[in-house]
Amino acid sequence: MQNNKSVHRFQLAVSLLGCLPVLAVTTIPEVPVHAGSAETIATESGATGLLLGKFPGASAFDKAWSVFTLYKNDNNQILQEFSLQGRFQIQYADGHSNDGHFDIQDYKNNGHNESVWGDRLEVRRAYFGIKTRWFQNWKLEGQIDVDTDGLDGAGPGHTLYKDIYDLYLTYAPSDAFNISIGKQEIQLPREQEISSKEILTFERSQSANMMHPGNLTGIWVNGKGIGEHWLYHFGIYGNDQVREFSNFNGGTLVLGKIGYDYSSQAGLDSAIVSFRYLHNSQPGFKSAEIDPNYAAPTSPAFSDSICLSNDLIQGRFGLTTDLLYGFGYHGNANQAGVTKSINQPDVFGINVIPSYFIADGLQLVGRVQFATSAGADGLSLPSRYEGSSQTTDKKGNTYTSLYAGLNYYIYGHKLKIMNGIEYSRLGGGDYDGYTFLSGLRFAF
Amino acid sequence: MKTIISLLTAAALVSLAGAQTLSIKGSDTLGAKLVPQLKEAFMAAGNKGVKFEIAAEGSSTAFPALANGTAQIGMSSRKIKDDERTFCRTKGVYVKEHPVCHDMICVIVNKNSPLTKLTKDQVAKIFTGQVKDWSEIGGAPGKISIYTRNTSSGTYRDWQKLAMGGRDYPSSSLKMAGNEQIAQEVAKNKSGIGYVGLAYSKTPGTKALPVDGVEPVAQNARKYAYARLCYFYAPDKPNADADAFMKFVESPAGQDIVRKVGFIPVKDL
Repeated sequence: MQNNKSVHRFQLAVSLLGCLPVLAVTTIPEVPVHAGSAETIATESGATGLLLGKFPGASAFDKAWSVFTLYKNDNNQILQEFSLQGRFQIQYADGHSNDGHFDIQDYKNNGHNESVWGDRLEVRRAYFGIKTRWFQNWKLEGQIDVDTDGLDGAGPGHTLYKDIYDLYLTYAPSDAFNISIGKQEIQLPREQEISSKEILTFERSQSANMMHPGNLTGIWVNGKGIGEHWLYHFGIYGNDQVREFSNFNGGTLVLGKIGYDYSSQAGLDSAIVSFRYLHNSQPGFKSAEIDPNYAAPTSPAFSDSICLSNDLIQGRFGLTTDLLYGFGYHGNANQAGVTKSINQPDVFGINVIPSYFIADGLQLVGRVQFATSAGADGLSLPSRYEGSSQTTDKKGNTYTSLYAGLNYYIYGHKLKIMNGIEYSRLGGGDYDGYTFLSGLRFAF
Repeated sequence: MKTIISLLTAAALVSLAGAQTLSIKGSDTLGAKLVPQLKEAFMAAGNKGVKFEIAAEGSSTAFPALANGTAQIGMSSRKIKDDERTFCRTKGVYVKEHPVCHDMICVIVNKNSPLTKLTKDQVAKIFTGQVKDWSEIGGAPGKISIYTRNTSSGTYRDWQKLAMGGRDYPSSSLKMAGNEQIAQEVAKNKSGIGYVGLAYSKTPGTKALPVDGVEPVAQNARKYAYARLCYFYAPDKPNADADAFMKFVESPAGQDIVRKVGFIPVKDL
């Protein structure tokens, strides 16, 4: 009850600040339905949102989070929804390896332009943006990457704005067909496809990150429920990863995915198998665009990558499996206007992530990673945080890792606490150690 | 003293037992007519002690209610979404899917209309007002009169999504209170067209048209353009009342009611 009162007070305060009309405790009325009623009795889904001072939801958390919905009305023919969206994730890491102790301070000192509070807490992700729906079938959504300490980058005039994380316009007339244009995160393995709001581990797997082309500008179509079971995605993107939108001068990246939902055949709550193919016309490209406040990442050195994924949910149990293969690139690449020779061996990776709810809201998570490269030094230690250890040989040809974690969900994936420990070993290089991680994740 | 304590205990137990309510929330397609009738039949079958609360506010309301424990059964005219299942799981609710029936919305015209079939594209163009005269699609010349449900009906919005690509109805469309009224108006108006549930597709004076070559009959529910499977969702370990009610719905007696209300029993296909 006290909790509810606090939320109502907060909502009232927020509304008053905006000089808006307030109905802080309004909920959508329930409609009594009587047997034998001749026709549909449905509520006229009234408009809700911060701008109207109407906060729907059954629980105090529901009402609190509804503050981020500025306006929502399915019956408005022009604008159906205008919401704020974002995520804020902070984490602590502490590691020990055969080369000694390392932590976030070492990560910061290794030249990573990321927000670090004090020397121990990294603001892992801070995104803020909007999510809107217009004319029933049109969606415009996007987020910027926020520099929470205003110190990232080397240029003058530090600001909270780092880059456009994603921004795209979608036409979605049905589940079976959506078409979008803009900038989005490229998703090769299933693990990448799961939003960072909802991933069960702190970081994605080494092989998944190694083949990840970043956030790119392009056009893509996707859909699901075709013939009840099939799903797909096809996209074409400019390969240059830049602060805002592509200059289309770094080659082309093509991503295709086909999936099959076999939940009903398997008698499982959810079961989807999928195959993805990624082609990169200019592996190893790095934009020459000079921006002191943005360090352009380098495109992965794989000409083609494939991934076979399986994702299962049954009751308390979940299991995500990715098998990846990257065809290494051997040749020259344009990196910030300079031609560089690249000799990347093929890489194979398997990542298995089981999970189990041991109590309401408390989930045990495991992960097994194994990656191997066809030649020496084909794999790199992940920059978070093993790459920050004192080792002088961060490249190898086998990478093995075991993760065990415990996630506590306060309000679903919108507010949760994560803890985990990961043991990793880099064969053919020099790393053998473990990292303890702890973090808080908030999303709306 | 003992007697007083016993009486108070008994009274408390009775009041607790009396407070047991089976709360069913979600889809108005199911919650408007079918579930209330199933409830009546369930109570008549010897389950008078169960109190029902039925809230038909749309499928999307089913899952937060299940997650928050304010509903024991969720009604949905679509499959649960990934994020909805995930949210339920993080709240300790592991939902199971229980198919209840197929819902079929049929396109009807006046029985004297020369039209014998339509395509999905033609249906979309008619109901969005892009096609205004029957002669534009091979019918006898005459302005098309569109009969729809009223804006508070869930079917009004469902039809927009299923048949009209989410676009709006023309302002000239005539809003009716229910299936019966639509069928009656179409029967009276030779230029009329409307959509009704399967149970009303044989209303005298009207005829239901095949869409993309598929006849609107129960046997075609899996391939007809405007048909969908409707579900109950409940925790993997439902309480006794919810379990008994869902078993009743799946029983021949329950499925018979499904048929009578105008839906298609899952086992019929």
